[in-house]
Amino acid sequence: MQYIEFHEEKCIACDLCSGVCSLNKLGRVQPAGACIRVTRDMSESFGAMRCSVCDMTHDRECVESCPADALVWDEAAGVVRFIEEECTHCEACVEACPNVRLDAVSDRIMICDLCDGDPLCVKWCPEGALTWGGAS
Amino acid sequence: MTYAGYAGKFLTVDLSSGAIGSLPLGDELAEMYLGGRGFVAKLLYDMLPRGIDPLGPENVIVFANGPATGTLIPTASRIAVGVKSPLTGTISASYIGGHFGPELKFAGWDGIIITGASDHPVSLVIDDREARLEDAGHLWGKDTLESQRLLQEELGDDFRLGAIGPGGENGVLYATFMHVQHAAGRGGPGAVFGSKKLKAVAVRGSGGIAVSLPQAEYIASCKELHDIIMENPVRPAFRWAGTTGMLPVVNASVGLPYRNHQDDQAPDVGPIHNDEIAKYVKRYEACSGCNVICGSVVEFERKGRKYRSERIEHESVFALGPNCGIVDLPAIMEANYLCDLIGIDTMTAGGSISWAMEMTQRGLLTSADTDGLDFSFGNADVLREAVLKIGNREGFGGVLALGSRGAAKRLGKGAEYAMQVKGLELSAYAPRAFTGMGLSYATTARGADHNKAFTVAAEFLGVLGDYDRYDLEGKAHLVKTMQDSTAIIDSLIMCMFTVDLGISVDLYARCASLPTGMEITADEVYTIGERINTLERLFNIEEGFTRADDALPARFAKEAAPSDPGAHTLDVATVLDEYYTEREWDAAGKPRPELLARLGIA
Repeated sequence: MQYIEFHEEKCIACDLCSGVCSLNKLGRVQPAGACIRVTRDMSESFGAMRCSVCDMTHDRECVESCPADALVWDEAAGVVRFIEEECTHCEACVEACPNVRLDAVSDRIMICDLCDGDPLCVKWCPEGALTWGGAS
Repeated sequence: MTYAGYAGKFLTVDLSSGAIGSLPLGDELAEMYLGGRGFVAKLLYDMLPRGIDPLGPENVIVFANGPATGTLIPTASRIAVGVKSPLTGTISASYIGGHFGPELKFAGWDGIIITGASDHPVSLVIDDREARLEDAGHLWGKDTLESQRLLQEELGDDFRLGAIGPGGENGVLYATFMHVQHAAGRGGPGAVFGSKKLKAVAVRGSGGIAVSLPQAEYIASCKELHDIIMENPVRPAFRWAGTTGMLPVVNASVGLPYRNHQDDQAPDVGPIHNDEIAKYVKRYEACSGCNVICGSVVEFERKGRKYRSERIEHESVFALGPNCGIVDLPAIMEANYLCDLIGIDTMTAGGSISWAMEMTQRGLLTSADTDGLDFSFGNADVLREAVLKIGNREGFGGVLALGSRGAAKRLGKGAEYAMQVKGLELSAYAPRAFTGMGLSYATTARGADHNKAFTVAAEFLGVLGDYDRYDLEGKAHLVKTMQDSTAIIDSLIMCMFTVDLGISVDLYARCASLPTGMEITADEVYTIGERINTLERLFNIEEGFTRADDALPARFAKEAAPSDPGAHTLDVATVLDEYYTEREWDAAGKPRPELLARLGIA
């Protein structure tokens, strides 16, 4: 199983990960709609960074929550796939898991598919705060 | 709007009536002025009546993004904040890094045009396409970080914020608008916010920005630009020491102004160097879309007071440090942090304090004039007190709140010790040691700003040519072309540091065309830059500025720096005609009609 690892102390809040992810998946730069989201704990001065992206632990609560067949476990790739035509826009998956996101512009469900094995967010991170985790 | 990259609209807010609306961004404005500083120049030139009081309701605040903002173009996160400056009376744009600009564009706006004045404190809250004014009475009087913290609590973590502090509320002429600890500072936009009772601006954007190419092609093209910066040998220095890494190097070369520019070298900069500054670093910080990473969070202590802050920058260290004869790093960092809290520009604050110190040295000020404070050069303890008094405009702080030129005028003495051009204090590069910087300080529309033609790159760092730093030969041309190319960087808007990190004018043209689809060559980049500089010049001329205002303090032509073995002086008046000729301005410094016709300004 492979997944994206987040190293909090290295994150510099540049937002390049969510920028490049959204452009790749949606055709526009839109961090709020990206599969990965990095935010800051604003309750203290320069608080800790938090990263929200599918952790690939595959409890698959998103899949189980889906009343249609819009979220499907792709065992070969080790990721959950979103099938747009099947989606009923009920947003149960967004409720079920904080790492599933809704793109407000296209009403599309966003979930990390590891860019088919070559994640752009990892490639673009200038500080190595995002790395490949796990064995293949 | 035909072009991608832009949001296509400005938000308009009239604080007098509370009316909120929008103004479409037309193709012609984008083609002629590109964005950022160009939009500020055009909008303020067209909107402002001549001769207005900068702190009256007629002044206009323009926030302007550029076409590259938030589009993955490296460092394109800065937003311009333009006003008629209360410090200088010139047109003036200041720039904030961080995350505010991209967020505003994600919300659907290329900028904000703020007119009128409110009769009570308000915050402007922008939630995607919806905007509203909220009462800010409970924030008034609070410092910039506390104001942002309270507003953040009220609105939620996903808003990006900026606020003024007591400096802006009290009308300190060089007050800042702060986004976290990023300042829109020079020229005092915060005082204009204060005069309009606009305490804070908050924005949340969930939308997207279209770009001109299919995603795979666009991502590959942007990655090439990021890699140029990533692989540049200078990049690690920015990351390691921030901007202050340059200071000891410049000082060793006899180019760092010391004790209010009386000398161009400090005998010893003590702890102001990379290794010492790095000790305070807790984590690194970047602006949105940036892989340079010049920022970091530091923790330090002074006299039992503990601070957690953004790391100090080169210009702030210089202005509050060596130029005041001070090398006590924690004292300088404390003063810098307090300037941020109160919301005043560190550079003019330092320049005003160093003026008071030279006045004291010459017996023109005594402690009776300064509420008992000891403004002797080297007195690190006075920084904290002086900054707090300036923010509150209390006693002698009220004099220093006018800047060095205004303070001298108020007291009727010491104008020759005010180290400023057009009212804006000089930066950290000694004009006698870098004559291109001297000419740039003298001729830049907003006054003595080091970032409008950073000729040190060509006179010292060996980037962009190899000019003799003392000789004026070729400098008129160098300054003119760098002012024009810089106007584009300020309009895209990218970070000035990219100049030192391998981004050439050809590549800036590419950074304009990639997101927008606009066809733009390096030549056209220069033409747009010329247009912006010329329109800013016209603004100033119509405000009464003349050739006589394109002058450095007299000291530099009369006295050499004692530490300079070559005993160089600088009289920029000797190249002013050459510079005007380069610019196609007449002998009085007015743009010629043929130039205005060529640039399409009429």
